[in-house]
Amino acid sequence: MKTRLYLLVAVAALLAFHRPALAHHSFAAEFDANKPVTVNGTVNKMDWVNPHSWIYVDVKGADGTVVTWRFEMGPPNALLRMGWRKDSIPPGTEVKIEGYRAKSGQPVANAKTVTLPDGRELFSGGSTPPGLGEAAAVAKP
Amino acid sequence: MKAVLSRISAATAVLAFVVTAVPLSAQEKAAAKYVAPRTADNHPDMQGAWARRGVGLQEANAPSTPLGDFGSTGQPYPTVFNTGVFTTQDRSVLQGRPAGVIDPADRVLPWRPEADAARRAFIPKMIPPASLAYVEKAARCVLPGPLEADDRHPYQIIQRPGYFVMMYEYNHVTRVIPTDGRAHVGSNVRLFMGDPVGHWEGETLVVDTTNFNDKTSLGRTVPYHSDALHTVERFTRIDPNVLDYQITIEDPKMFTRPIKIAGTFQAADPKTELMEFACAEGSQVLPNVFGFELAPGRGQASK
Amino acid sequence: MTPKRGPRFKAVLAMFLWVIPAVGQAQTGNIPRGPDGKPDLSGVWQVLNSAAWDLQDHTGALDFPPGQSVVEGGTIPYLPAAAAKQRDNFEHRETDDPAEVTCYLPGVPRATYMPFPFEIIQTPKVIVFSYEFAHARRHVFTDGSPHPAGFPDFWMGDSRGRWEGDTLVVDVTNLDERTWLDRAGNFHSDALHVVERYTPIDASHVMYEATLEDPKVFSRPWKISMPLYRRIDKSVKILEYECVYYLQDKRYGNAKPVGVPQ
Repeated sequence: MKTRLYLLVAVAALLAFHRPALAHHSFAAEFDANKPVTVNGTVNKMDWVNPHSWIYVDVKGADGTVVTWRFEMGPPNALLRMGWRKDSIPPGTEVKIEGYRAKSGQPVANAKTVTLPDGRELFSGGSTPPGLGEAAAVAKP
Repeated sequence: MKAVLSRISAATAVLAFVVTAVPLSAQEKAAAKYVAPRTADNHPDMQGAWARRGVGLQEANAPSTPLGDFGSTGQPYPTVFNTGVFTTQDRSVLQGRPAGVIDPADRVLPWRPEADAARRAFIPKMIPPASLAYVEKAARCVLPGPLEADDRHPYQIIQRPGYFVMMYEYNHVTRVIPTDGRAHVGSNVRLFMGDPVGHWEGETLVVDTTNFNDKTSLGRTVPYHSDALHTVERFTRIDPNVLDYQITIEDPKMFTRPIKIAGTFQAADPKTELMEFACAEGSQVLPNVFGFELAPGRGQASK
Repeated sequence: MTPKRGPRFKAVLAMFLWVIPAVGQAQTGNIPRGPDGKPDLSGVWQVLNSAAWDLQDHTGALDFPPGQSVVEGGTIPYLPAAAAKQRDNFEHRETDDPAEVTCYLPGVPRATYMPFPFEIIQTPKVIVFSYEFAHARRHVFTDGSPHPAGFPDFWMGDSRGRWEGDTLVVDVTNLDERTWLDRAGNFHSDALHVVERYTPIDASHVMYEATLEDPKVFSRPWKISMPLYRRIDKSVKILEYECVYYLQDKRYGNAKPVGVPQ
């Protein structure tokens, strides 16, 4: 198990240098790279929907109102193959998300990084799903 | 003296034995030509889960495109988005192999001048899209045509007597390729993925595909093609973990001669199960671009 | 046979005995089989009913063919609140049907009886179902593997199959709650569990049965059944019904982008 995960990360690192000829959709059509946004909030829910996972985060404003932001993430199949499961990020988890805002102006964004309370980043090569323990620990590529 | 000589000769004999017993190097192994195992109907067996690599229509002196790559927006593309498909440990057979456009070697694509001018006028209108016609095809989650599948998702090949079936995890594309060299469907049947017909040439499966419609894209700098598109693919298993893949693309309304692309299919974990990738169901691109939902009425339930 | 029979009787009897097995073979024989002796379901199949419009008895109307119920017992046993929801679905089917109107993948068992053919490609470890409608596809893993734990729902579910004699039994879970069972708004929840049975009758017919269980919607499990007919047309193949593309053209073909800085 350990060997396989190290191999996985090693190959993932190799794959990182392979730019696919295309991504399945155009970021630029929907999101604005000139409108970065960072929110801190609690997870409301996570949608495992192809082609993207979505994470809904309740963000409390200075005046106490809560806005639910919707962040687009990568394909759930990727997460599943890495060992993440449906309940890996339960509602109530505090997260920090950095991303790029939708051109529509809605509280919608494309997630660049999703950081959990212990500092792990959800989509980086070094992140591991909770509950897999030491055997799942992998080195950052 | 005799004892010394006999010891030397004994040592030499041992040395000779050791030298000849050294295993072949990787290059020497590759040079001994690999022959694929056989299916029940005695054709090369290329079945399994694979990662497609290197297939793309790179273009020298391409017009700049506002689409770019994900990386060009400044957003990093995390490695885990490569779906955890992993390929074999021994990659020696991949050394020195060309990938991508190999003919023309300089990657200056053989455009017909009027087709080149038309696409150069088209591309700037894609971001923001002037209308639906200018929305990048990949963003619409429709069948991708001969090139543009998302290679971050695995492929699976299964073979039955008379059929070679390529399944893409991406957008649940399935190509059922008959291998009996039959005729193509009638010319008024037009298909996003074309109509493929295969035949075996020794170790190589040759797939001839016609009947394309004109609704797919060949790449970010070739955002559309004509319905004269015709492709020929060649699949050869050159290693337990590698399929050699070539695709020749011909579109006489766009290009003055064919373009050849080289790539590989590299073995993924044998336990890889293709999962559903329901692209259109989860895509919010068009609703975000146009400001209203695809469903016409009360609106679908959101999960 | 103790009484003595004449030679003519014996000749007629012999002919009769020769004919009967031949008739029997036409009904139960000639089922294509793989090297493992199991039936080989590979080929192109399609239903010949109007279950796609409504699983239960339905009267004809303009653009709405009539049909008899494919539900065992006739009616679907809805819980009272669910029955109200189904009526609401039915009233809004012109806008709300996820498959016919929005081109979403149709789910299981609806994909089986859409008015489009599908192809079965059978190998020892996986049987692939490739549906012409929206190129829907599912993999029925017959390698003994279980449904993976903790997976999200899929539009076409997760299917694991095994053989019981000549019947392929497919257990389907993880079905996305957003699919409908037909155009009449018959529906289910995320608790839906489907068990399908594919039983070859002869070389060109398979009896298809599906048992649906969903304690949030139905008061008990219930079952549908219908024949699948092999498409024997020359050079028959699955073509493309790229519903999504057609719908996008219809909805957005004349629209202008919004939310874009000018």
